[in-house]
Amino acid sequence: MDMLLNLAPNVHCSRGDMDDATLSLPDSKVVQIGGFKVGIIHGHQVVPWGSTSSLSIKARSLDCDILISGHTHAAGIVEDGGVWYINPGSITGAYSPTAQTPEQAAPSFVLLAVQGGKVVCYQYKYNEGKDAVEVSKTEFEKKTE
Amino acid sequence: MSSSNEEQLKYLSEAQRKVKEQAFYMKRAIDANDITLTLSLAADMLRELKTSLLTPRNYYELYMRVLDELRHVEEFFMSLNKAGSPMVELYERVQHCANVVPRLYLLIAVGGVYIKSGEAPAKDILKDLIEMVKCVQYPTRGLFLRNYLSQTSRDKLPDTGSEYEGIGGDVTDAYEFVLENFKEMNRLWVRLQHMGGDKSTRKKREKERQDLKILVGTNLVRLSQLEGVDAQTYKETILPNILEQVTLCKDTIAQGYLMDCIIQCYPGRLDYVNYCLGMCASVLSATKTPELDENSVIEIEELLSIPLSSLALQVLDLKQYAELLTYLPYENRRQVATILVRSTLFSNGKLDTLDKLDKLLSSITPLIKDEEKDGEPPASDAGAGDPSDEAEFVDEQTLVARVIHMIKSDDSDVQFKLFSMARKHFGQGGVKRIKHTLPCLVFSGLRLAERVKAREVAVTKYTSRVEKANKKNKKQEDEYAAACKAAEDAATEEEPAVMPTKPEPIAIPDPPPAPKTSCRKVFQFLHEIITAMAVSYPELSLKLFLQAAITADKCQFKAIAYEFMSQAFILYEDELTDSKAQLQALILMVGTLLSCRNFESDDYDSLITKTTQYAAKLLKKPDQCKMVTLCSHLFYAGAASDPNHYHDPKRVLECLQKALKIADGCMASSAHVHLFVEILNQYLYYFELDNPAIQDKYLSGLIALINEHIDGMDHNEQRAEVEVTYRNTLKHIGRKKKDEKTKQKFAGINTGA
Repeated sequence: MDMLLNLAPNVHCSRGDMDDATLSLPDSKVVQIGGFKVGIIHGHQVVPWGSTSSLSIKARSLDCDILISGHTHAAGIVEDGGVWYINPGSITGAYSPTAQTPEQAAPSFVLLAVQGGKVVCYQYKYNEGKDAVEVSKTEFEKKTE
Repeated sequence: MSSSNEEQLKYLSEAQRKVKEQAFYMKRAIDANDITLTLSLAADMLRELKTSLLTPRNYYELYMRVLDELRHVEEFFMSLNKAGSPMVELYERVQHCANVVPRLYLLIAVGGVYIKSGEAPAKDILKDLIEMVKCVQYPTRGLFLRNYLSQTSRDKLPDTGSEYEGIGGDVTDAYEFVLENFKEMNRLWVRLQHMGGDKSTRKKREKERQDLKILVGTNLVRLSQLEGVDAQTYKETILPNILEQVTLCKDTIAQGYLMDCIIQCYPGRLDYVNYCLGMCASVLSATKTPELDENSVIEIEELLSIPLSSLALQVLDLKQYAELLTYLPYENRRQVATILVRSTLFSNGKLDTLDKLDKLLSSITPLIKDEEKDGEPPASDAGAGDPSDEAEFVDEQTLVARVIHMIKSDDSDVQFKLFSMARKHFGQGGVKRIKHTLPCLVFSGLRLAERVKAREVAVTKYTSRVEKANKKNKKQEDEYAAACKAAEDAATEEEPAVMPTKPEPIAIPDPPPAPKTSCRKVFQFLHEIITAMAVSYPELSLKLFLQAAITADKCQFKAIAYEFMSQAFILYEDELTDSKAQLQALILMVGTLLSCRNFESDDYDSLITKTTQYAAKLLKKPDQCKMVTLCSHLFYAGAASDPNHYHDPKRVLECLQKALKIADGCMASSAHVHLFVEILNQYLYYFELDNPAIQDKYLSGLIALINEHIDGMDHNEQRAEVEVTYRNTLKHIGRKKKDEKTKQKFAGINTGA
């Protein structure tokens, strides 16, 4: 936690299934960044784990434009019904039984550059075979209905 | 003390004033090229260094001041030399100076230029100087005088490759000179401790000596910088000489500090470091009183910590390291252990042999278990009480847990043995520690299980490949034999047989090595660890059993996965009484069951029936409702394309209907509308998945129900929240109604709009 606070003054967290009970963390959280409402949830509460359809229910109740979830350790970016579902994966590449393949469990993280109603999403993933970090870029805009 | 401080400042400023004054006239004499006057004024200035009134710190101030001025004299001597005056004359002349301190400073100043002039061999002048300076035996004065000698001679030693090598001597002369100076300086430094005074001045003396230690240490740096000293010379001549001094001086400050210096000068050289540590250990074991004073403890702790930054895990190869560690008290050993683990992690250390792991774990015992006191049982409440202690304890144990990540063997059998060893060590840590260390071991163990499984699969694949190849080869041979026979039969006297070409048999590759430790055995190992934690941490163990179940299922061990699941269920029934903990556990149980896709269907049936029962038995109605809703997923597991999918559409509907009924009972807390909306979303989920039991009429009915109840809600935050979720849900349906692909399917849902 201290390490994260060293990286940025504003740290937003939600509770994971293995987090110590003594840490007081919310189950989920919504943060307004630029023109986006960003929802954060660990994801173990949403079954089947990692299902976009199930996550979309969460997105509707959190009323967010971007929903960030994890738990599966499998990184991914999906758009559905105007909402972006982002799983940054595990930054340490720690073992999780839920990841299906070793590639899925590769260390990864995501940076979101928000500018008003536009987001550029950079996904960084470590490729063990090449011993290099691969970056992919996704852009999206907020849809107004 | 303030009066003495004031006095000190008075002495110092008075001395500095005199130096300034003499220097002023001295520089005028230099300008006038007057040798006699210059020498006499320089001697007057240098006389200030005779004082014994100043503390070492203040003496240092004065010394620096004088040295600044002395540079002018050195330059003057150089110019004289350039102009053709032989230095030997000047060297004789300064010796007429009546006072010993000024005389020796001047002698060194001339001596430097004398060596440079090449009029006499460097080694002879150096030898002369080192003899002369023996006259000063007062510690502070002697130390600074010798420091000046060391500085002046630094670039004039007949080291290998230096311009003074040859006639000027060789590296032996160079290191002998530095060693001699070191010995004398160390002696003076140690003697400072015994300069009269009672016990009350002891601390003060120690402080003063700490201020001066760098003067002594510089000599060791000098030795390490000599080009011509090779490893053998260092080991056989120089180091024993230094260590002899260290041993002889019987002074803890000196011993600790000099060891530091040696190690810092040669941090990368394992053998040196080991030698130093060994000497230190043997000195300690020779001392009759094993009780160390505060200072020695600090020094030894530092001594053991210094090589860690460059050597990290390699220190474990040092025999003496562990021995020396045992001299430290528990607390200090704990500190060193923390640094050891940190630097090992930092250097990406790899623990790939049992020997390495055992050495590491044994060296960090203070982190792994409590101190064993004679006759007393080890305290099991380490770190309890004070919250800052508690935080430190957690940090420390997290660090220990990270040791597991350093266990990396390419051979899964070795990896298993390493984990088993870690398990044994961690098992001694007591209840408070295993909470932090064992879960990490469990996850690493699960990862290992997958690795072993991959090896087993490779072996199986190989076996079937070999069988196939053998079969094919046999067939080829038979065909060949038949063809040969046919050819022979068809042959006549005139037309000899045309024999067919013999086909190449399919090569059979070498078999992959079969793992000695089976995947099953790894799971047994994990079962034992998780069970051991269950007594004190039932919730944590339950979670770990669930994780283990997923991995076992992934590895196609249906029975083992079922066993892990049932252990989790037993913990749920027997140990989890808190309703919040029950809810959390149930959520994970549902998620886990949905992730395991290989259960026998009977097993799966009994597990999901149990889970649904638990959900319906939760204490709070809203919790019941949420969990029954969640359990509906258990009856619709896996996509239709998944051969192992389990779809029971009617049971899904029953769950949702039951959840609605429970929600209906929550009116008193007015949580019901919120629950209705949640259930509506679940209906929608199955409707989109084409669950045949979920028909559009149910959705329309539920929407009508919500519309009816939402108006009755009080206008508060709760209502605002429900309205947002509901509006988003209707928007979602609206979008589906417009979408060409889903238009038809959603047409029948009446949103009342």
